[in-house]
Amino acid sequence: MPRFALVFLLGLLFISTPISAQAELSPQQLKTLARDLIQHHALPSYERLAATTQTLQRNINGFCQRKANFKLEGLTGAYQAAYASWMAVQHIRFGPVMKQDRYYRFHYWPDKHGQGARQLRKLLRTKDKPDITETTIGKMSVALQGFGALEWLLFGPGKPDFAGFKCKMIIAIGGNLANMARSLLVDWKSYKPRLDTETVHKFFRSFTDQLQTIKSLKLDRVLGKTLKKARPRRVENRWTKTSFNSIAANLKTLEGLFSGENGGTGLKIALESNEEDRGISGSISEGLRFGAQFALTQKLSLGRSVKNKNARKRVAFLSSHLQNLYESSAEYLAPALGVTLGFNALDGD
Amino acid sequence: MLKALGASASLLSTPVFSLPASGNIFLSAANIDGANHARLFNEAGRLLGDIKLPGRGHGGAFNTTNKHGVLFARRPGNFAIVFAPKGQVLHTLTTPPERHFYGHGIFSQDGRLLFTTENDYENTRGIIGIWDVRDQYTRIGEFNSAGVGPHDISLMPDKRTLVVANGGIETHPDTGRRKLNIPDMEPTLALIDSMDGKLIASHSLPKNLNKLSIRHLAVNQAGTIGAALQYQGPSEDLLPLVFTLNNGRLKLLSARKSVQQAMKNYCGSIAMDRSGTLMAVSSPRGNLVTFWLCATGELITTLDVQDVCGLAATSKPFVFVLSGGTGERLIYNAKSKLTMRLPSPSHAQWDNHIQSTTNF
Repeated sequence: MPRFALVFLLGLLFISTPISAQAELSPQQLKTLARDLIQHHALPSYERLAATTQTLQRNINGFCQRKANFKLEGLTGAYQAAYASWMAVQHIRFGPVMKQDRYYRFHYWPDKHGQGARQLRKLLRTKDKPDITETTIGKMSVALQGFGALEWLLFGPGKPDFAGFKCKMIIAIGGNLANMARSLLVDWKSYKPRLDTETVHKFFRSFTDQLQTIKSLKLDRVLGKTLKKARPRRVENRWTKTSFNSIAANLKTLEGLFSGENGGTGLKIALESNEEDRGISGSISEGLRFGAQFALTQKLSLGRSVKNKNARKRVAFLSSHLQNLYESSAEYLAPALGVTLGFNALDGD
Repeated sequence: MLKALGASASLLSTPVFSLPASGNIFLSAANIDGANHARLFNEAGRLLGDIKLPGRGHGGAFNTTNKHGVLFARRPGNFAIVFAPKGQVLHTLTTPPERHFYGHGIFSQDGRLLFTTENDYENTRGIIGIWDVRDQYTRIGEFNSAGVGPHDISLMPDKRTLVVANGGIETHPDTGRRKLNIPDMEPTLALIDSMDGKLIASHSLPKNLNKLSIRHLAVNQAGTIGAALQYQGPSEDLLPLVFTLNNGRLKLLSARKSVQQAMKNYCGSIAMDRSGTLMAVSSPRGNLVTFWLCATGELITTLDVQDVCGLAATSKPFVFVLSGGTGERLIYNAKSKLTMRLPSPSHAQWDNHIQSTTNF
């Protein structure tokens, strides 16, 4: 039996297992967990985002100013590194990143109407071009400010022509990303969320919401129900063709959040009280690692996979695998963390 | 004048006041033992009708002319079930292609038309669908809701003007319930002539409050509109979550800080009492109901109820029926602060709204 099929079946087995009696964490354990998630999961990730966006800015400026030692390969590599850092915090939709629309300004996605590309084309066509700087771009449309616009400019349609206004745009976006990441890190360092259930629950929601986002938006929405209904242009990274890498980066950071990283504890500490729970915990950790590895080892890009009869099955499998991880987390981890998501409070309308 | 009371009322399991047997009839969607239902019940909590739903339901409406009720699918659902007073299913409505329901609707005063809030998702346009009741609920037209994401809808006391809460949030079935335009939200409260779909007035919040989604509303006999909001910005922000609109004057209402915090930036439902004096607003994430005076906007009391969302007026002034996802249904007198718990089926999870009528 292929390894991925075995993990898939294990996922199903755990879902059908009755819920065991699970002890909630003590206030002290919750406090430690909340502090660890902030200091050892979120903060290092935002530090990396600040560092990689600074490197990106330096590469953009060096390349556009035609400085020696700044090549296009270095710039695109810096873009990929910075974007991977964003993928490592994409699941955090609370705290300082929600202030001043930063979350959307970093990456306006999904950009259902293609606003970023449309506005960029219009700007490039305009004769009287506005004076765009890293400061002024921060006041323009969110679709123009972040990674989506930068991807289109660096890797999008047309010949790679980085002179004049295009370079001005790239410099502005790079500067804006670096500035936002820097101020985000400063804000996170002074951010004092309550070290209790509330913060732990926010991280738990980040964990489960991101699993659903990857499954529904990054995979199912592109896959479509049939080959004919596949929509490859909806991939998250259409122009870099690295959507599978992004998913792998997402799952890697979720594994850090779940298992603990950088010397801190993770959400799984709530599943350490008995052997059965530890088994579930192990299956979730393994499932996250497996999902990341599976995404990284696909031969075709996600866009090409969904249009290929055989590769589609692998995309569908990854989607099912993530659904199993989501259901296991919701069923076992939520009660273990003391998360009581009410019928109306969970997702009201 | 009602006496202000900060502390929450305690719950009593035995009846402490009575409501007439001929009181209001209520309609609410519920999850019963894992299945989706709509249920009709009276002020004693007695089950009057049960309708099985093909998916999760949301809001409902009563047609007092022909005694039809309707329960709408939760967004982005496509069904609405029309039923008779004992729950017999009469019609199943399905939205036209490239439309879905938003979960609310209202019958015209003469009962001939049903108006439904819908999403024209390919054109990012809110619309009001029009259905001909007398012709087997044929879809006969639609008009613009004058905003994105129309949700709750009601009739003004002139029985002709529709008031529509355009939440301002763009969604698309391809992206599930994902909100696609948070930075650019433009919620509005639109007054629309039901005869021709013409926009009479559109009310917006100040630009810096554009992330306050105007989602639910209630109207009293004097034409005062109460609106319950859901904030889409940072959870740390504390903003007003209720407003009234009276003769074109929009007034944002705020409670003291502890109550604002407890509301968790999210209101699930709003209802006026029978007298039109009070409005109740539920905050399911905060397990809280707040009660406000319509005339002054003063918060008069609060009530803690786990996962509370459904609210409706009973036949008595100041008295509301409340429901929660835990299965609880309560009758609460916001003047005397007395509470009566209604019997509830086991494993019932009452969904977001309760529709109330005096004649069904």
